[in-house]
Amino acid sequence: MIDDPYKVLGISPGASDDEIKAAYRRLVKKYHPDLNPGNAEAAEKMKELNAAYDRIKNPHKYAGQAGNRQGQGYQRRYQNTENSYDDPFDFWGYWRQGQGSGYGYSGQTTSEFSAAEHFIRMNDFQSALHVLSEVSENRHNGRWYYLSALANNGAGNRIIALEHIKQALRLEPNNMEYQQVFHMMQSSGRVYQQTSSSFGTIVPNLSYICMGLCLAQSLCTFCPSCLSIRANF
Amino acid sequence: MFGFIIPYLQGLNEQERERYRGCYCGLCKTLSRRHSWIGKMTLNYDMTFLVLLLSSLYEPKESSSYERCGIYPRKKHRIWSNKFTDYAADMTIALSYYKCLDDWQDEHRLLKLGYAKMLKPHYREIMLQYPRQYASIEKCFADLGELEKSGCSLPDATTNFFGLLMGSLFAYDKGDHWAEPLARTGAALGKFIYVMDACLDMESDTKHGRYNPLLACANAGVNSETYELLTMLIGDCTLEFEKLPLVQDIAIMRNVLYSGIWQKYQLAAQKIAKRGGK
Repeated sequence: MIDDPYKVLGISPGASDDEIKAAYRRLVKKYHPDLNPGNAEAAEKMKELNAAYDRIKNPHKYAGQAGNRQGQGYQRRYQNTENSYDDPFDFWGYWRQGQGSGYGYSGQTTSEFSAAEHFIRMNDFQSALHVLSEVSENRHNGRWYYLSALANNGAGNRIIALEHIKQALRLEPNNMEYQQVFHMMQSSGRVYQQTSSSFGTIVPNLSYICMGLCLAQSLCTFCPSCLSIRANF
Repeated sequence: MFGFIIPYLQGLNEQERERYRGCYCGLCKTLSRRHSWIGKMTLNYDMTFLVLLLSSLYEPKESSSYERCGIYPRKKHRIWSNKFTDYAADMTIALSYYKCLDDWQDEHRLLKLGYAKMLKPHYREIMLQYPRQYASIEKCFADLGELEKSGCSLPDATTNFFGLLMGSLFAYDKGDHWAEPLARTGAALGKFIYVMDACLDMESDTKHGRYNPLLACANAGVNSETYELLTMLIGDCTLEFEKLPLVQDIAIMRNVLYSGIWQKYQLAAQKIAKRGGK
């Protein structure tokens, strides 16, 4: 268990993304095994640097660990940054714990649907997809599309996942749970757009292309980062 | 292979433009040095990005020179290359070989078959050095071919295969600490360009009754639906890309991923808008 990863890299917790990368590289050049052959201390230091960098860049991997006091402080810091809500792992973790799904669902649950949900919670997306494929087409309701979107997303089938969550929303436009999953699926794209807008970038700026984005934005009622974008306009 | 991974030149300063061109010219020179004029014909921008990325991550020794060439004959300019230029040149040959075979199978263009035949001995020879990449390319194209033949309606199936292929090319050294993050970045980028290619080809594929991976999607083509999908996919890519500790040439690479990569899509969108306006 490493201490504060920022301390290991010799930077302040407020360091920018590029400052973190530069600090990491600077230290790696000093301790790289190729430059320090047979030096056990340097090798140990390299491991520490890699772990610290990984901890900053992949906070979700460490979110489950109890951690020490510094670790928790660090986690809190990360979650306060503006993009943290957009880290998909925050959400999927939350969903899996059972907060997100099932509760508040008042419709009919069938055994296939609860089985699929169970598999999704267990990260067994192939079994979830299999169970869902057994449901005959005339029973493909909003809930089916919603679960199919989750299972496909987990299995890495991002295209179908997006199609199906949209279909679920077409069938039940007011379902908060579906809206939330739709929102989370687009989180990487949202972070992308925030960055690319600062590039004075090429966005196919045709009115008919804009439609989809407006629709997506109107669904973001609970996302702080979207609120901040809108506030800027 | 698709020519989408290009910079938005107006967004780069003079120094960055020269650096990018030096990389591209280095790849061109390496291709003709290693694979004669046949190799030079395969030159494309997509693999230039791979050279920039791997060079930035590993910072190997670079050799550079000032030269004139046929494309820019008026002024001498700096050309640079390193061991990743060699690697990218070899992978360019491999991908071009399969692209030609694919074009022949899809569109029955004789020229492409002839070209594939010329590339084949180079391809075979090269891939002896890269058994992992070789296996991955062969498997990917066999799987893709089978899915396309069966008219697979799941867009993710073909897209993910192509993503795996690109991922395996990006992960230069499988034993390295950065192999996995590189593979994830490459896989996400591969998915994006595969889907973008499918969107841009949708119209002509439908017209000629050809296979298109997005055939099953209700609203494929160049429109707001696919723009949303593509934004999600490129977002998956930059999410991984930004985790890599890249400093050298980061402005050029960001320019490519956050803006240049949309240029062909934007052109297609403009064309459609013009047609609609008439």
